[in-house]
Amino acid sequence: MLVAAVGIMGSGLVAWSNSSFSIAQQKIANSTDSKINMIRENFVLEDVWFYSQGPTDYANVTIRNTGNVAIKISHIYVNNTQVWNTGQMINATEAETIRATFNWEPNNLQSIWVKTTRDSQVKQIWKS
Amino acid sequence: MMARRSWARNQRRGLSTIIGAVFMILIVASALNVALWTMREQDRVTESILEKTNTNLNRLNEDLNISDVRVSNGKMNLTLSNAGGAASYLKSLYLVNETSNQQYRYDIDITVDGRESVSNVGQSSPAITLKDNTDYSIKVVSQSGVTTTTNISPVSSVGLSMSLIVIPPTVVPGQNVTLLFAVANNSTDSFIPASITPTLSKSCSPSCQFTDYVTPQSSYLKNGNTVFFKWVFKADGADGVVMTFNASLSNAKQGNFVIEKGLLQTIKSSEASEIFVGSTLLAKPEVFIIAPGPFGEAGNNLDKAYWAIAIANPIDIKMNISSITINLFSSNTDSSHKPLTSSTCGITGVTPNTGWSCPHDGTMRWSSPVSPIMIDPYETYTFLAKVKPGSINSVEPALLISVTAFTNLGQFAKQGYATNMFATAAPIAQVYLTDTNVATTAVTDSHVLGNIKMNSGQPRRINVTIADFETSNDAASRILAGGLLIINVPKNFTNITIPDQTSTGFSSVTVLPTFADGTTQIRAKFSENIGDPVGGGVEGKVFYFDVTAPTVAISRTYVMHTFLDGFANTSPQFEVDAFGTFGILVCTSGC
Repeated sequence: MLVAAVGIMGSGLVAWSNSSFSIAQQKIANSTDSKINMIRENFVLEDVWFYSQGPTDYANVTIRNTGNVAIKISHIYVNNTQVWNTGQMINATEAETIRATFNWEPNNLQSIWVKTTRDSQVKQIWKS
Repeated sequence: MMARRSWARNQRRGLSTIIGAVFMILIVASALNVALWTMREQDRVTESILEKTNTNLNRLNEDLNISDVRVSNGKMNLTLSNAGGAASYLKSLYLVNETSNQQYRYDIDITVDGRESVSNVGQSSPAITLKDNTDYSIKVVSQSGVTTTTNISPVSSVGLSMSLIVIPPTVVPGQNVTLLFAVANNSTDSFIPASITPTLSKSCSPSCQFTDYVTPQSSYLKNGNTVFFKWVFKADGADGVVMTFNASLSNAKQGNFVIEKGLLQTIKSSEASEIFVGSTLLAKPEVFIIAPGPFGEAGNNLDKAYWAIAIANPIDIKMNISSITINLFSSNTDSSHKPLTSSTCGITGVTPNTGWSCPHDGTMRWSSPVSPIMIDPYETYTFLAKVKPGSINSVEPALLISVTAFTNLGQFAKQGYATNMFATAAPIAQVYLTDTNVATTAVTDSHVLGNIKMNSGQPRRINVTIADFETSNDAASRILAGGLLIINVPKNFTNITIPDQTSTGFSSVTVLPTFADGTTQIRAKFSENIGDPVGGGVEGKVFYFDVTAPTVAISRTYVMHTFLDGFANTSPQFEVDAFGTFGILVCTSGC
């Protein structure tokens, strides 16, 4: 009787622990992968070109993915104001140009802040 | 039976403990596994961090620099060097036309190894068209995000440092001038894309002529560098002409040029007929000699020959002469062989008329340390004395002459001339300037001249005397007819005119074509013996010609070499080789 009870309880406890460990393991794996990918993300603002077409002011923000994983640009802020959030995939070692629309004045310093979906960030000052 | 049942119950009770322990072991093992797996995951994170750190360090090992940008065949020709240790993969090139404010982006795929460079970027794949008269900025980006930038500025938009050097700054007319034009690009971040072409404009006031020999080619000028351009040309013109040189570059920025001046100056010392004494002698007086040849006969203790030193002051301050010496050297060392004997020289001063002596055999000296002779700037003074020949025991074919002048600017000497002496009766042949064309007057002391004056650009008659100062009636002491009086008229003296002088003993006169050095030679043959007046005595003949002096801005002394080429009526015939080097002072006015 006691043996049976121990067997039942032990089996249950082992099953619960395995399940619990598995869930934790999955969470840790996801978290680790996310952190690793974030660490492996690397990009630079290759160029920012300010120009106007008609009455509208633009900036071509060229971002080069210098890491070895693909990145997805999620947001671009200029002077802490979001000017673009469409999302743009950039493969490893490649560069993409994103056109952002915002008003700028010549010879002013503009703070360009670029974020990825993994929350990697680059913030640089460019002169318009 | 009861004991066996109790033993069996005890056995089952131990079994449950074992089963429980097994479950515990399983749970602990699982937990341990999870812990180990978590550590491995942490290790992966650490590895990623290390990998990223290495990547970032590799970026630091890329050191890109644009070392040159040119426009070749209308396309960009960029040279990029990587001073770092790691290879760099170039991926993007940005070109901004700063004039039109247009940006162009090019994908490139070029690898530059560490400590290597790559050229011809922009010539193909992609071929980037550039204008060489437009401002551009260029940026190159590597795969790792390393960036290098530079600018292109055409020569029309950049002010370059320029300097021009005239060598020499004071040029003798007809001589070569070298111009060195240095152009420096002091900009450190801007390239001149095309080769620069130097330009030079030359002008003179008043006019002059230039003959180009060397002209420079175009050259590239990298930033931080200096390039030299060289011109060599001949400058010819009147004395005192100011040359103005304006050097710049083709399409240079407005106002980017340099001006330098030079001076054409015939002479500040003196000008010999066949040797142009130039700027190297600017501070050195020139010493010239008038000497007899032959120096008469040995043992004549009666007649005297004229010896002179003409000293030209080449600078614009007064020069004081305190002493001069004339030394005669013979290779005959016999004690009885004395071309000039101290005790019997009988030296007589003409100009100046005091202060002369023969301090020892073979030496004539004038000295006046208390009252030196002062020569005005650019003028000439002739120290003239007459002296009896000495006694020699054999014919002296070449008696070396050395003259020395002691001045407040230093002492100056001249050698390389010679006279001769005959052992028995022979003429004392002389050639010198005079101020009269009357032969009997020309042989007197006050008419024996070593220098004359002319006004700038004005004509004048110049009288040259040939004389024999040996007074005996001995037929051997005559200068034979057929000899030549040779006069080298200095450069820039023009309009040489020779009146007919057949009746005065010059039967044939030739003016040779002007030599390459600008001098002109007059050759006058005397048709009569000289030195044979009835009853003995001195005899001279005066040859004269008209000439126009050069135009000078300041007073200048030119030197006219004159000499005789003939024979004495000795047995055997002995060379007549008297010579005189005469200073002709050309003044601006008032001479």
